[in-house]
Amino acid sequence: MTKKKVTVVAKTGLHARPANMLIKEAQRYQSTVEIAVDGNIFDAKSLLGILAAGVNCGMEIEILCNGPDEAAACEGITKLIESGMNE
Amino acid sequence: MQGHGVSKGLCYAKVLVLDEEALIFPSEIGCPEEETEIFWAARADVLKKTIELRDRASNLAEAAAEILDVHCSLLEDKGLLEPIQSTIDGGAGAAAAVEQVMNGLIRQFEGMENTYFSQRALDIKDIKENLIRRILKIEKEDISCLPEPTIIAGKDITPSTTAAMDTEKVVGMLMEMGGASSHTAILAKTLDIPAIVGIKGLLGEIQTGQYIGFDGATGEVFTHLNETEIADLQARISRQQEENDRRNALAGKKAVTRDGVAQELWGNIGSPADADKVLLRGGTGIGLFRSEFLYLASDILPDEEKQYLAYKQVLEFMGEKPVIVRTLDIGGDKEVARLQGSKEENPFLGVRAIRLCRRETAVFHTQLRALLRASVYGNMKIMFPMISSLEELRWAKEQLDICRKQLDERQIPYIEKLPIGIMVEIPAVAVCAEQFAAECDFFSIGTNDLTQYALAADRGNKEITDLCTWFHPGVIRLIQMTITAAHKKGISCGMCGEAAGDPKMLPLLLGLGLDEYSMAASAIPEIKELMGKLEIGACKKLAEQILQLSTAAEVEQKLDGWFSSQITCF
Repeated sequence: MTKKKVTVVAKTGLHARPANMLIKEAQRYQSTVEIAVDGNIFDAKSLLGILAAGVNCGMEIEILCNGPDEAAACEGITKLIESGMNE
Repeated sequence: MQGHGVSKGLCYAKVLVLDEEALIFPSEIGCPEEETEIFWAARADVLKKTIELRDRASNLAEAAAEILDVHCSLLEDKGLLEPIQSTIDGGAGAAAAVEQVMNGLIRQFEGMENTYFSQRALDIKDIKENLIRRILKIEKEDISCLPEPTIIAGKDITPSTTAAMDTEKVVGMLMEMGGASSHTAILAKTLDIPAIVGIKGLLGEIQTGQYIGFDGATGEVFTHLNETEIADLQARISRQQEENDRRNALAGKKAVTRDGVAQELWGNIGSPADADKVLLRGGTGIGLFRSEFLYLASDILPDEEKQYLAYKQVLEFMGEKPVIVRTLDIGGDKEVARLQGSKEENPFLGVRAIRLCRRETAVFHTQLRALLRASVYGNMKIMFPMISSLEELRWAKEQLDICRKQLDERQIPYIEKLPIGIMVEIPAVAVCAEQFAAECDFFSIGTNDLTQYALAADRGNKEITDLCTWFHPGVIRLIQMTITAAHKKGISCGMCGEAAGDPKMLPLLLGLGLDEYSMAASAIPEIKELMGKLEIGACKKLAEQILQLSTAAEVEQKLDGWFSSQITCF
């Protein structure tokens, strides 16, 4: 399992559009991709999962990847979140 | 049947009942395998349609395409599909399973504090409705393209429904709910479509496909007519058409009182297409361009380009003639789901118009930039609605400055000195009108809201339509104070509320010295004809007498009596 903590910089948090970008990135990998928010785990390949997490701007989340390409998945997701997702 | 006639005119046509009631699920369902098949077929269909819409939208508006792409992702989301499947496996019908699972999600999202998240409940509602309609094979009534002249009827016809309707083919509107100045009523007037609201038991009496007639002036609905009655009604309809044609022939003539004082007679419009009607009826300007239509007509917020093109179209069409554009007035009874947060207890006293714009500055800036860009194409004035304090007016002007700078950076031209005005519709502003007049270029009195706010009488509530009257001496005094203050500070004062097109009010308004009258295009010819029969001097005396009266009934009686004595002289 590869884990990494990252702070969400997208201005409006992980709402519809950024969340949609995130799941599309997550779905590219074979590994399971999840995010931990305040101790709860959400499936990062499900839009409803990401939206239900209710991540606002400035919150720290942990990315949890498990599978054959977990390192690449973790790096790809981190980069995307750190980029601010054009918000 | 009888209701409140809100937009004059006779009509006779086929009726279409808009069914906005809840969908009814079948009580008999198949085995889980059959229901599973029904669900997945429906889901595949809805997904395919959504993808098509998304791809079509991507050429036009990025924001629209992005929202539709979110819908596609949701339709492919196992977080949605798996619970529905297991609910069906548990013995529920496909439609009921969708309803149950998605309602749970809707509640979950509605409970979220951040509006960006709680707004997602609307996306889920949208998808839910599409899925259920597909499962039950119930098409949504599409009124944007109708095959023949049609009267639309409903319990309530919402502004977003009317914004999307085929205005060429809709010849009448009937509603169970609503009062005389509900927005749907005003819209019908603007579009010059006969309408009656507040008809008790309407939907129990009529059915889609049935021919019915009604009189928008008296509020009478005629069902089950015999042949003679139909012929009689149709004869009256053609006489009405002749009378309209005669009045339209006055279009080229100037609006002048009998003693030769020229008056400004302008039209209110709700979309670029209405400008044509104003010119046809002889209006010499647009006193109120309601910019909400762009927001109400679709679920997706209009971008700068779309707005710019709409404003430009009207300005170019009107040429030298002035066009007052009112910035976004959402809230009250006009809802735009994408912009508004939770339901308010008192929407008319809540986050409405400029108040909403102060929370959604990006949306306001988009509109202001579109307006500034369009300004070079004609004679534009900008008007801010629901101003209740000077801070709001100053804030709005600051935002305009910010937008000017943004356009400077993009090297886009605009007119530097655009006249900036405010709607006077909150009693406190009428009382302090002099202070406001010192900081803007014109006033426009919105009598519908001014009346409802001054008298604490909801204009959409049919139980109290008798209380909500601009003949109330308090309302008349507020109008008088506003006009006097404007003139003292050297700015003009117009009126774009319904009262400006009320023949009975005309002599009083002429007497009070109103500078500009803006009304539904259909009212222009009649008001112009009446103006030609009135003298300013006599109207001034009348206004003085009216200001001495103490009840609405006395005012109305005085105007009635005076009106008939003056008009019958000629």
